[in-house]
Order: sequence, then C-alpha cells, then structure tokens
Amino acid sequence: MEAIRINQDYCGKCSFCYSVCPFEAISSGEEIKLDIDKCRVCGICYSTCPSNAIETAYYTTDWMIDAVRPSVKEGIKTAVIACRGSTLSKNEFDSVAGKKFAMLKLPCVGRVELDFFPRAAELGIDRIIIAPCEDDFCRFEVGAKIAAARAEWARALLKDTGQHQEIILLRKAIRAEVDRNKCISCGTCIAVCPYEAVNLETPGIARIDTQKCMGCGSCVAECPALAIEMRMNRWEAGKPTLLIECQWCEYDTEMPKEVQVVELPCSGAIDTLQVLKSLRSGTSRVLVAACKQEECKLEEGSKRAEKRISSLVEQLKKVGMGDAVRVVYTSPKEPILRMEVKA
Amino acid sequence: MIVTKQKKIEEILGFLGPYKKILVVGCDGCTQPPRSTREADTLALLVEMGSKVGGAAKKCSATTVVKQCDNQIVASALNPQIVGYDAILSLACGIGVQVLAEILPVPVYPAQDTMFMGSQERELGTMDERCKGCGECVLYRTAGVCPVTRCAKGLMNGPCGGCFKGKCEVTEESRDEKGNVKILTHDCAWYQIYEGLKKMNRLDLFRTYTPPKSRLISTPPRQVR
Repeated sequence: MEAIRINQDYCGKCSFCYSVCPFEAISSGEEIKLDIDKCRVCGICYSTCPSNAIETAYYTTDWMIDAVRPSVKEGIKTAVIACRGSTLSKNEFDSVAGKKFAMLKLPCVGRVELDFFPRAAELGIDRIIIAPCEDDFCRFEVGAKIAAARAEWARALLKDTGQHQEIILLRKAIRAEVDRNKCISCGTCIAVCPYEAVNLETPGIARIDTQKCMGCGSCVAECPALAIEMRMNRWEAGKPTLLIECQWCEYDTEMPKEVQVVELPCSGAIDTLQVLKSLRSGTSRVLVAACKQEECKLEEGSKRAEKRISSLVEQLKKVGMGDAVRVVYTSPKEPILRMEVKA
Repeated sequence: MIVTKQKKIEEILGFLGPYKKILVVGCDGCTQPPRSTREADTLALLVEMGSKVGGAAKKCSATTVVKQCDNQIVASALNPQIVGYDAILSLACGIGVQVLAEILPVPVYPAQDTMFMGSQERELGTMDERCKGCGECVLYRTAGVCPVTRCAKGLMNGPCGGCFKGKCEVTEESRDEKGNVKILTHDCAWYQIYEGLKKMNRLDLFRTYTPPKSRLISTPPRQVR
C-alpha cells in the first residue's frame, strides 16, 4: 500500500487538506491532488479530512485503537499519545500518567484524528495525555498546533456528549545543552549549527539559545570535547547488527530480532565515536538509515551525517574494516529499510 | 591557530609497531581542526582495531590536556597518567610533541603533520596560512594583509608581473595544455594590499619603500626572554 493517497471516490473537494498541508503537496482544482514528491507523510491531512478520503499506511485511527485495546483489557484506563520527536521513553510520563498506562509514539501527534477520542472513550479510556512538541519545535511546522487545537475540540465534544474523558496537553521538546566545565571554546558547534542557535559568551564558552535550538544533535555529535549533551538514545553494543536510524526516515519500526535498533532525532546526531566503540566491542555491521538530503527535517542533518560517516568509512578502510558501515537513504514513502537490513 | 593534518593510520601503526600499551593524548589548545577528547578517543579506537587486524593487538587509552605546549600543565596532568604505558601518541602540533618528549619518561610520537599558523574559513571549510612568525611585523603598512605568507614570492614592495585580474599566477593549476591561463585560485596579496590601503585612504604607505627583511631575526633557534 502507498504511504498516503487520496481516494477520489470519497473526496468531497472541501480542500481542508490543501489548507493544512505544511509542504504544499496538495493542490486544489478540478480534483484534489497529492504530489507525493513534496509530501513528507506527516499525516496531518489524513486526520483533517472530514470524509475519510485520505488513506495512509501508517498509524491510522484503527491501528491506534487496536494498539491500546490489549492494555484496556488489562484494566488500564490511561493512554499517552506522544510525538516521537520530543519523547524518548515511557517513564517520562510516570509522574503525570501514573504507573500504568498505554503509550503510543507517533511521528507527529497532528495525525491523531478527532475520531480517536470518542472511540477511545467508548473502549474505556478515561484519560488521554496528548504530548506534542512545542509549537516552534514541530518537525512538520503545524503538527503541534493542530494537535493542541484538536485536543481542545475533543474536550468540548466529549463534554457535550456527556462522556467523562480527561484530556491533558503536555508540550515537550528536546534541546541541546552545553556543559560549561568541558567546553574548550573551539567554535565547532557554531560552525555546525544550522539554526544559528549557538554563541560564544564573553569568556569564550558556548551557549545554546533554547529558543532557536531545534534539537538536531549535530553539535552533540561533533563537539571535540564531548561538552554538549542532549537527551538521546544511547546504545551498548550487543547484537551483531546495529541499525542507527533517523526517526523520521522510517515509520515502520518492526525489525528482525537480531538487529539492534537505535532511533536518533536526526541522522545528523550520529556520533561516529559511539559507532567505533560498538565496532570494537563486537558489532560486525552498522547500518545507518538517513533521510534523503532534500527530505531532511532538520536542515542539513543528513548532509552532515553523510560527511561524517564517509570520513569514518575512509578511516575504517585503512584498518581493514571498510565494509562494516553502510548508509541507506530511505523515506516513509518508500519503506525499503527492512529489505536493506536483511541484505 | 596552528593548523594540523592527521597522519595516515598506516603510518601511525608503522611507527607504533613495537609498543603494546599506548596513551593517545589530545590537545584542547589552538590546534585546528580541534583535537580533543573525541579525536583522541577515535584515534585510540582506530589504532586498537588496526593493530588487531594487523595481528599485534595493542591496548590504547585516550586523554586530553588543556595545552600541550606548557611544560608545567603537561607535567602535572600527564605524569600521574602515564604509568604502565609503553608509548604516547600526541595529537598536538609539533610543539606539543616536543614538550611531551622532553619531560615525559616514555617515547612520544606525533599523530599529526603540523602545517602552519593560519585562519579558518568556516563556510568553505578551508584553513589558510596567515603568519610565518618572521619576527618583524609589517601588517601596519599593508592594510592587515601579510605579504610574507600570502604572496607566493614573499615580495615586500608591490606586486610582480604575475598579478592577473587580482589573482596570483602561482596556483595549483595555472595553465592548461596549450598554455592558456586556467582558473587562478589564490588572490594576489599585493592587489589586496593596494585595495585595502585605497579604502583606508593611505596609499602613501603603498609608496613607502620597505627595506629587505633581516633574515637574522628569523634564524633558528630563536628564543624570547
């Protein structure tokens, strides 16, 4: 099935999708058309369409309901819907959601349909925590705003229909921070940052502007003194194959069991030192999945990753391990990653 | 900053041949590109992996020093750390390597070729030579453009005949097979000096004669007290 498409039989030509699409991938006219080349598969049009004319292969409302159903059967009545861009692990919600809850991690919470709320209420979920990114942190420009508006709308709708469902909105973002004691004032982060978010303070120590930082992690991966930190998935070498993927290049996260999967906020955050450490301690193959450069959500993350990985491969060739690291360019539009992993 | 280029791994593995336990020491100082913890760690891993493939496995650890050119800093930072190591691989410039070799009791090897004192052009990703340490700075009369390092011939009194549209005739690929001028990559220093002085309205400086440089000042070994 295609990643996303418009079913013309159902389309009422209301052009809502056209007005919400952040990438101008939908054109209105005689027929509403979707230009898959421009599309980034955020699914905001899918959740906006009033006549269910937009079909997507990933994270449909049916899929979401099915995903929370087993937890409901265990008596869990709280669900957390979080964006993968700003949430790492389940325990970030422990304090808000209690010990037991069902958790769904989506690429953009803007793709949650209004339908989902009453259907979840019907299933027995009486508390939903929606955790989109902060507005200016959203990778799909309007996704976080739409998610927030929709939560508000759902709240009103459920109140009117007399259902008791608590909807909590929790905004999150993951940004880089400098450890002032480690900074050597070399200025690498300033050169690397695509958002001009880093400055050197008067004594020469880097400072990251939290308003501007978009959390791509490029500075974290290149800081020579390892002085920049960001909440990110770390990994220990364990399985023979290590797949390091940008969390936006692949939505289908089920991989063979012998593969260790590490999700990063962007391929630009790949730390070649970590890769080397894994190779030394037993990993025999490292696969890096990155977005195509024109599809990179974080300006030049993919480009920086390519540069860094190719210089690593050059060095590895000289020590006889040139085949160990490979980069795969993929996109949710053409899910080829699983085949590449097996190859 | 001092611009350096990392040596090839095979070369490093070659001269580290007889040693089993190696300490890779980074330098947080002025070497550019920076060679701090990350680079030291990376090199340590590469040497370890390379030696494993080559048959004679080595053990490497990494550390870093604020600046390797200061003997007191080096002594206090490294002396406690070098116990048990057969050799040290330094990621500093030639100065750092020499300081380490002088004060530490273990053999010290350079991991880098030291190129020159220069500046970094971040957007183009290049590093350019800017100072030779000639000992008698003339930048006050050349609009901040150094003729010693930026003129291919080191001329002190105006351009030669090889200044072509503001570019220097001495470039990597200056002529094609037929002898026609191809792309000239380097700016002519004296052209830039002229333009700079014109902007400053100090062309009188351009007309002032500069006597030949005294080689005595720059004859090694030099020392400042």
